[in-house]
This record gives sequence, C-alpha cells and structure tokens, in this order.
Amino acid sequence: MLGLGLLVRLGRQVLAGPVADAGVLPAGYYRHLVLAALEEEDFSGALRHLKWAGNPLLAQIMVLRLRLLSARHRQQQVAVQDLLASESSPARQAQYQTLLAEEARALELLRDYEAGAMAHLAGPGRAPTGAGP
Amino acid sequence: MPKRDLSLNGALVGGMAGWVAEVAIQEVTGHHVTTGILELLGAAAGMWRLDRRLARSLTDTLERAQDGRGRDYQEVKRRIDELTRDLPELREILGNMVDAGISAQQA
Repeated sequence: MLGLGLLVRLGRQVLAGPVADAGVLPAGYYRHLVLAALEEEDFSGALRHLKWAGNPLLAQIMVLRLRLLSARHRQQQVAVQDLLASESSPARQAQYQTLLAEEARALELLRDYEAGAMAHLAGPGRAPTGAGP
Repeated sequence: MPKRDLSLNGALVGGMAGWVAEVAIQEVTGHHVTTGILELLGAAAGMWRLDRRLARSLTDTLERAQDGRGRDYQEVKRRIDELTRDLPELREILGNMVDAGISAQQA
C-alpha cells in the first residue's frame, strides 16, 4: 500500500510540474493557467506558461497591465520624492528613502516582466523593445 | 405522486462511509481526493469558459486604465493609445470598447 501511495504521489508531481512545464498539454490548458495567473496578478506564473498559450492577445494584455502598474508606481515615486524634499526630520527622510528604494525595485521587476512578455510578441516586423512608453 | 422514503440513518451512514473512504485514501496516498477532484473540476470549468474569461480580462484591463478616478472615456482612450502603440490587436479591441462607451455616454 505504501508503494501505491508513493506511485500516486510521483505521478501527480510529474503531471503537475515537469509535464505542465514541458508544454505538452493542450494550448487551452495554458490559456487557462495564464488567465488564472493574471486574475491573481501573478505575473511570473503567467509568464511561465505564456509561450504555450498560443494567443498573442494574452501577452498584449499582460504588457498593458504591467505598464499601467508601472505608471502607478512612478506616480507614487514622484509623490514620495516630493515628501522627501519637504521633510526635515532625519528619521522621516530615512523612511522615505526606504520607500523610494522599494518603488525602484518594484519598477525594475515590472520592467523585467514586461521584457519577458514582449519577447513572446516578437515576430516579423514586431521587434521586442522591452520598454513601455 | 409516489411517496418518497427518506432515511436519516441512511444519509448518516452514507456520509460516514464517504468520509472514512476519503480519510483512508488520504492516509494511504497522502492526497486529499476531494481536493484533487475539485482542482480538476475547476480547471475543466476554467477551460470551458476561456472566451468569457478573456472578455472579462479585457474589461478588467479597461477598468484598470480608468484608474478608478472617474476619468472620462476620451481621457481613457488617449491613455490606452499612448500605452498600446506597439500592441495593435489590443489597441483595436480596447479602442472599440471605449468608442462604444463614448457612444453610450453621448446617447
């Protein structure tokens, strides 16, 4: 019975991980995974399965969402910079500097995701730029 | 109409037997059978409704472009045009959706 349990566990691990990540399942299943990841704002998950989804529109939706999110982070960055410029307390200044560093990291991460998604749109006459407007 | 015989004891025994089977399989295999079945059903339902989910994803994206600040459609259209210069299919689809919103607003 223990052998049966191990066999079932092994089968499930193989199906859930390597088989899904090998891209051998139907494209509809990968579209489902990408949409589910986008619904949860899990961009790395969406990116992982995007290449097998076979639908450029999904990649475009992801790129636009990333650009909208980047725009929001840039606005927050500007707001924190304004606060930092008008702050005289060193403790508060340190807090704002930490916030700015976090915003910069978030923007960098979003840029990387965008470059990854744009790579799936690369084709004749459509070069991946990796940078949004 | 024939009279239905409902057995409370039968329901309890059936429920208990199902629970015992679930626990036994979980002990042997280390997996929740019901969770696995629900996962499969969820994936099947998700694949069945792909078109509808894609449409909902487009609507969600449009709402995010509005940024929840009650922007008017012309401003949203300008913003989408600016951000989708290199995304032609999406630009066309969202453009049509915004145009429909503008027409509805003018009507």
